[in-house]
Amino acid sequence: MKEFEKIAKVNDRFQAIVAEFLIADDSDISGSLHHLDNDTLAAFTEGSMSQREARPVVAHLAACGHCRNITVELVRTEMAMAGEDRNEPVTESTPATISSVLSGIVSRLFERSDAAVFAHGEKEEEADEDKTKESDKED
Amino acid sequence: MNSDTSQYLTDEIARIYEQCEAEAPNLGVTLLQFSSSIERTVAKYLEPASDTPITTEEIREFFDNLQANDLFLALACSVGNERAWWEFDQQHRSYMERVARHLAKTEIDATEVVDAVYVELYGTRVVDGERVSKFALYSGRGSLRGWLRTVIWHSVVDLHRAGHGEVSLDEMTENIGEGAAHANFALENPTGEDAAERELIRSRYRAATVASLAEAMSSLDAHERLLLKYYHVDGLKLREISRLAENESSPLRDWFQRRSQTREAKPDAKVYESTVMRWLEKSYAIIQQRFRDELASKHGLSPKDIDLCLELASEDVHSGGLFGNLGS
Repeated sequence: MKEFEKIAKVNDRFQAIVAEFLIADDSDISGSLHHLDNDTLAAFTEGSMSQREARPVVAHLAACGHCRNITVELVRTEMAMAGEDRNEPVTESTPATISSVLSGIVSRLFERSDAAVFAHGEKEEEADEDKTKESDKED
Repeated sequence: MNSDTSQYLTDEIARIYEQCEAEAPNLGVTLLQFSSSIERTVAKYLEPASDTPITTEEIREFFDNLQANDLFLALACSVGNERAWWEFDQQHRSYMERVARHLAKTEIDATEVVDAVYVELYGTRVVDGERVSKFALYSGRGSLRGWLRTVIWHSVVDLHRAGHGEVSLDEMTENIGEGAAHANFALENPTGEDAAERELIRSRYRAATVASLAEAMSSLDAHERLLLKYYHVDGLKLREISRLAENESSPLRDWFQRRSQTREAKPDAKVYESTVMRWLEKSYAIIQQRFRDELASKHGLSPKDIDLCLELASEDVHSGGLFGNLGS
């Protein structure tokens, strides 16, 4: 059973029964539903939807553990980031164009794969050296 | 939507476009691009949300929540405007990196995530001769940062799914129902006639409890059920729930406080943890009342019998689960 802060004015025993019911009611339901997109999830988490828009979203979240779980993660991330946002440093970087940004990304991707190949090559060379040493010893 | 509302929508789009254009004149977004994006959002989210025609008031509420400048920037980026990308990079890159670092396990993962998101935002897929930028999916209903946070979150999960096989969305979802899937009735091993009779009574009470609780739950509004699930299933703290309702225009807050005198007197009053606790208490009051009414009227149980139901249900919950077959 999950631990949660108790609601003072409600009987503990009844809370435990309701919690168990909700957990059981939540299982296996997400697979059958069409999930919410990023746009909707973000707008809901920020509380910036009109009532008309939010009504079907809330109904979906009440039934879909998958999407609700994402909103939970987003709220927690937002709260964790909130403190950092206040201390956000003002960066004075050089202007980036699309091409410079993307070429930077591409070169980083290649650097990573180059490093992997190089590391792999190094091991092979080391292994070859070891083999040579061993054969020298045998000789 | 009637013609007056439609005209209001058109006029508002033009007015907001002018404002955005005045604030950021070099982004190269046309009125047609701007209005197409907003009209798509209205058609996708506002129109199907209810059978009733959209009212002017609902359109006004929609525009009150619209992050027009963010949408303007995103549209400019989606069509590849250099100035817009510069603005975007200046305003949001460091934030994206911090979100990615917060969510990802290592610095390398964080960089990978941001790179992958940038590539997606730019768009590598070409449909009908046009590059499809992920920016085109942003509607301006929440902030651009909020949307980016969601995109990054998904990207982090995808990275783990692809590279490490440790965390998958499916696994996360399965964990939500943890403990429930294999829960069974806490059956004792009755021996003899007395035990069999006791078990018969117990079964009857159990069936009545489960049915009445299901009925009581269904009498709640969706926002009340959602609140209870956030609290009991997802383990959100009161502080975290209050964050969800913090925005003055939050629909959750509107629904919970629609009859509140405090809300009427101070519509911008902060939502505290104690506020959320009161919402939970109200939801519980509805369930409890409905639950008892159901047991009394449909199952003919006396107050004493109802207490016995609760006692037996509580024993079942503590010894392994009462609602084992509910989710299947």
